[in-house]
Amino acid sequence: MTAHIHSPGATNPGDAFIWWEWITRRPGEIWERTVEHLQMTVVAVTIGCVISAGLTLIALRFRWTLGPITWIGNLLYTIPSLALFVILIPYTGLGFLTAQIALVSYTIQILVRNMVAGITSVPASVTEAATAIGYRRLHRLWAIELPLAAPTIIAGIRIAAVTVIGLVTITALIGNGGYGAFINDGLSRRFSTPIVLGGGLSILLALGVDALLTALQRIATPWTRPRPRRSDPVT
Amino acid sequence: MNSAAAISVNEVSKVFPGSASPAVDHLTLAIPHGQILALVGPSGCGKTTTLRMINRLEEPTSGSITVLGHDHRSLKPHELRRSIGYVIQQIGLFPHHSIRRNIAAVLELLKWSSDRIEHRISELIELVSLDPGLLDRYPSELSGGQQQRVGVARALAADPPILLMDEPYSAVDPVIRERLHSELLQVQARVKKTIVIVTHDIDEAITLADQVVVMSDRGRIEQQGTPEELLARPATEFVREFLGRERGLRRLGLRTVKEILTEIVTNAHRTGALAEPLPSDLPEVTPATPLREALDAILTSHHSEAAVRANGEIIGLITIGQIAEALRS
Repeated sequence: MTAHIHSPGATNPGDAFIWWEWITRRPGEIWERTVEHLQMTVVAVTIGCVISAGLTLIALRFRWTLGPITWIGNLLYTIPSLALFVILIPYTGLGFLTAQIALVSYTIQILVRNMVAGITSVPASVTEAATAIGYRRLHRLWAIELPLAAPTIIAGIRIAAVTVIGLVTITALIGNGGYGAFINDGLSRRFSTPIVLGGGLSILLALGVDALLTALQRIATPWTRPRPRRSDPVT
Repeated sequence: MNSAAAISVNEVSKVFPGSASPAVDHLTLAIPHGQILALVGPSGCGKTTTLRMINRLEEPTSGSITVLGHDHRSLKPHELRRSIGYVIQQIGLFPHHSIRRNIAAVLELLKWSSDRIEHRISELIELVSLDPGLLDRYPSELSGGQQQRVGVARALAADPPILLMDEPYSAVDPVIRERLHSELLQVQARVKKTIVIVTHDIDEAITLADQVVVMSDRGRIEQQGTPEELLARPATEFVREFLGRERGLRRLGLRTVKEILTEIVTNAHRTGALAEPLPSDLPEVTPATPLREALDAILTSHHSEAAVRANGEIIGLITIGQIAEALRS
């Protein structure tokens, strides 16, 4: 990895917590790691959403499956990520697939929980009115229930994304790049600067993605924030 | 089967899964065209279940329902429902759609063009007395009464021949309820729909309905008739109790001074009362005053009669005795 090479001219204040010059000399590498980190995150959350949407549909259509689906989701969520890598590596090897299986597993519990909660919290009067007006089941789900569940579902996606961004730093252990590569580098050389850099960037990315999704939710669900009006006469 | 009926319910029963006794037990009911019919009874009597079976929100366990001459199972449920307006207590407006889109909900399902929808919306908001300035708001920004009007406009959007209303006024306060009642009657005078309204409020049924059906238990019909018929001749002890103690006063509320006006004029002529100066504090009523109000006006005065004034002139007198007589006819 490129991070191992120190330029001879630079002074290495070995005991300093952060060596800023080391960081500022690596804009290309930082960008590369950011792209890797985001890719891992987006792929995992997207796959997680698709699988969770399918599981949610099953759970809503056949209510008895909700218990088992939740149970499996919780179980996956409780397995420590390192343990999961150890279990998976013999089958899926070191790399992208193993990392994604682990990452996606952690999103399922969060996403299914919020998707089910979002849909079931739509007021019965609204779904009944939709049915009585002549909406068919799937159309009603798509046009009425899904938009009304959107704030809760997007909240789930936010939690899932932030969780995954944190976990992606660990998947660097099995060679998937991302900010975890900085941390690995630092750990292997007892050199604090890349560790702080990797951790710090991971936190910043998590905050940024969270803010982005929050903004997206506000734009996508304008009815959730009634505009201030002059008071109307009660009629 | 009654061919004059808009909706015929024939020997219909409904047993909910897991329930030992039927919610509705062999109900037969004819709902006439172009009238308001109220299903009234205590909670759990099967009135709401009956209503929900008409548009197949519940499927009858046995029996048949005919809507406008066709078995209601001859259409797919969603198609049937698009031709039957439906208003519920909680209104159930779509929180994420503007008032405009809420009113247009059925029209969008029926794939009307946007021009036609826009034209229809302006007709509807005029019909239900809704401020056009509200069209671009969300339901949460409206008062309960305004939401209720939107609910009615949505139900009437596609001009369905039938309108079903399930406790539509239970959630609004009494003052607004009274106003919405008179608005519904004004709307009905123009649109002449077959309206079935479920309520537990006998006064609401009497105020709104041309026909009242009193149900006791499991959709058992105790009596069906006009409000006047029910109040004058309750068929069973159950109906008598359900109507309460003020049947006479309620009947008087249904009739106006005008209905016994000829008798008044004759009477006034015979006694020559109009020829003499009337006491200045004599209560005055108009021909359109309900007899209940006229009675109240007399009782709260120092007299036993009231003057009837029309177009600025006193045209007769009405006495307590005559009002009492009206109840016996």
